[in-house]
Amino acid sequence: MTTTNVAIESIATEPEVEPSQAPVLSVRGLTKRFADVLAADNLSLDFYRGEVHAILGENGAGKSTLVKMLYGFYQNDEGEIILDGEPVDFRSPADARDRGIGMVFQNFTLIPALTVLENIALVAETGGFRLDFSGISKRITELSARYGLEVNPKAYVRDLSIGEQQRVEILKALATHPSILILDEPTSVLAPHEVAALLDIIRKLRDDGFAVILITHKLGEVFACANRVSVLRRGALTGGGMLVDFDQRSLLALMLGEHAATEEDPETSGARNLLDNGFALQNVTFKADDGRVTLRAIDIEVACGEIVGIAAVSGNGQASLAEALLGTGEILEGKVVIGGEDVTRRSVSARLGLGLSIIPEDPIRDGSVPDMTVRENISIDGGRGGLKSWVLRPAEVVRRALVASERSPFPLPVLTRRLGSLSGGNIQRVVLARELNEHCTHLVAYYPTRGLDLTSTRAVRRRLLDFKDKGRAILLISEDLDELRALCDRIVVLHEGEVKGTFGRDDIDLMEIGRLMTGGHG
Amino acid sequence: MAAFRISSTWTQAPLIERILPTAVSFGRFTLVLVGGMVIFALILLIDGHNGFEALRSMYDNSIASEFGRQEILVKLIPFGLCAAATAIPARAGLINVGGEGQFYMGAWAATWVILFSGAPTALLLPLAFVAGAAGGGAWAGITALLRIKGNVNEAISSLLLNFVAIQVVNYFVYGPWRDPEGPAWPYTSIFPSAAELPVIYGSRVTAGLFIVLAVFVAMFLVFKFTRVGFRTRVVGGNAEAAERSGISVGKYLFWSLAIGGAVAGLAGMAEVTGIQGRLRSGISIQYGYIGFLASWLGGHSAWGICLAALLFGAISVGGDSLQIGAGLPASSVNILMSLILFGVLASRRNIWKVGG
Repeated sequence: MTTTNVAIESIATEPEVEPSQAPVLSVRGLTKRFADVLAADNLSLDFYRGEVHAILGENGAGKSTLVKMLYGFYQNDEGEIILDGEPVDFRSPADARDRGIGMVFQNFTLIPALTVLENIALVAETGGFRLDFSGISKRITELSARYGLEVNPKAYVRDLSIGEQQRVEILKALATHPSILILDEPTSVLAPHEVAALLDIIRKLRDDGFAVILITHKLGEVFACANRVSVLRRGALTGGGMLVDFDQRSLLALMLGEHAATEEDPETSGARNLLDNGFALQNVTFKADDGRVTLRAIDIEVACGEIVGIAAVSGNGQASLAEALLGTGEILEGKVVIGGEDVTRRSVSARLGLGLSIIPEDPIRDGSVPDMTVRENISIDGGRGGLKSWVLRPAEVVRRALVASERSPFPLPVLTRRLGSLSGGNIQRVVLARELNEHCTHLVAYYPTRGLDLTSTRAVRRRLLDFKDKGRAILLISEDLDELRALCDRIVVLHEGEVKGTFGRDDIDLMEIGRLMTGGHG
Repeated sequence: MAAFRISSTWTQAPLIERILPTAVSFGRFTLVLVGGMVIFALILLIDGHNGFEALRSMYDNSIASEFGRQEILVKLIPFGLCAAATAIPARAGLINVGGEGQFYMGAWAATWVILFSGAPTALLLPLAFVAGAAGGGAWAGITALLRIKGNVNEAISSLLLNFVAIQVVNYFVYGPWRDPEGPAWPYTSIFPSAAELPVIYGSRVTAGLFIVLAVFVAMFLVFKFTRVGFRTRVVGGNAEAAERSGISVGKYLFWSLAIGGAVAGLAGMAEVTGIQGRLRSGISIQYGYIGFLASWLGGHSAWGICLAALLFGAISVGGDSLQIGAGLPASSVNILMSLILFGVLASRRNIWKVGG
């Protein structure tokens, strides 16, 4: 019912190190305002060595604001931060780093054109003129071995997978010899097996005496590795304490409020209303923009009134399914069929005109224009719902935005705001609202609930099921196996660009799917 | 309490975010302008001139005098058109530094029509107009094709093509097109009177003013009220998102650059038919580059670049007076223009970023 993951549940352990008596870091009455928004409201918390302290809350609850103050990224308006018993005033992240606070950001801060070693050297260098690469390299090897952070120091960051990049981020944070490590939504970018590995690392860090601060909105992670939990809602602390004093329900109630917590996940009504044909990839071999062949002889058919799920570890060709259907990249062999028409040689706009809608892998990078307002972004739609006339009437843009806002599964940000001024979660919501429109009959959704809070996640799932009931064809690519199991009629497993297995709704076996996803091992 | 304040962001943009950007950019602009002038005056002081006196003389001889105001409008033609030549591709995310070369090729093509095509007299001006646009547009088209087909950076190729264009014009005016009857200057023969751009009644400002104003109005209307303009902005804002929403990004890149080049070509045509009456070597006094600066100063918007081009016009006209009055080279005002541009580029930072 939540985004809890099987892999996570099975490996929860008790801490081996007793927390020391005095907190290493405390905040008292911490308050931060942005314009007229109170992002952190009188927060008082304690953090201890040898503990994982989870900060739990929905998007916009103020979790990131809190840790950005701890890391000197923002300055608090009121209250104080006490480190090792003395009040501190961080003017910048460099101050915080000097005092032993390390942070792993949600959006990676690595430089793709440099190697792992060089990236780490950027923060770890000791100030001399000559960079001590061999010393840093030694430290990387040491840390890698100790915490299972396997990564090749000579590899270029641009060649690394997301999971590896995150390990580099952690190494980078550790290279500055911190005693407190902040992880901001570390699992939001990871595939299931990578999540399990990360949680392992977090537990090792905890057992080694680090004070780990884990920002998350996933209950499963909290139960898998935290000792202490604090719940934020709308900038304020709604509760907290030792984790053993809480269960899922009580945490949910603190996170969402009593009413929302009792709401169940959506289920399909079973009513069908079939439209025309669905869509299909027939024996498709596909070359991506970067020249790699990412799909080999793929056959996937999505009928109307059906949700087909794709289970795959990130980078195994699932992104190319969306590309092949949309018409970017090159089809080397095979046919793409949408609504009964062969569109293999047709343009992107012709395909969108058939009612195709794509929720991109990265909605911010591939689906939004930061310099335009929310409502202008909603009008960027080349498909059936697109602008018809060559004249752009401002009233039409406003109307379309209002319609989208009304039909959106969740509240949208203020329509006149510049998109670039919004948080990542809000940009994602705008793109989702645009793509999940009434003209969409063939939907490819790439992990639409990634990083969304529980309320929005449920709303998106409800919308997908509603689409299915209306007879639309949906291909759901997700890294959350529980989500696939909850929503899909069939699950297709992809590994290295090939279909490795297909599971009907009644014989979904998550362990077997997990085995096929990783190439048949383990 | 806190809950209410947070949820209010869903219904209404914070007042500060709605009013502040305009106020800030206006205040910032004024600050940059005044700051630039003060530093300019100080530089002149170091050189032993009375800098503030020089600024005063610039003002007296440009904005404050009837003659100066007319001269500013004369300058608005090349400055404004070359600014639009940068601004239009900029809306599609392209950096066109090639206004200078496109200006030269527009002038070249217009000259060909007027002197060598044998077109009927009555059609000379309209055909020169078309040729000017086509010449500049085709020159920018080279840059556009290199960018689209070969992924060559357009800023670099357009800049380098400037030097080629200047040499192309030099070749013709030193060689085959040189006036056979005139002295040995690199000039073509003088244009027939039918190919002279008419002057607005009672002034020294040519009909080129109507061209530049029409371009500004068209820019405003197209980017604000048409689907093509909207899509161009989408391409400029995020080409990947544009491609994925079915917009042919390549076409938009090509045409925005080609149209930008055509506008610069019109500036070249207006220069040979309105001011010089012939094609000659060195026909542009850095117009393409000044237009580039004006476009960035004006934020690539129609009204912004109009104001910026007027401002640079005033500085340029005022600069001519420095030569006569203060004994300074006219080009010393380039320092002022550069200071202003530097200030604008350096202050282009979003300090109102709201996180959370």
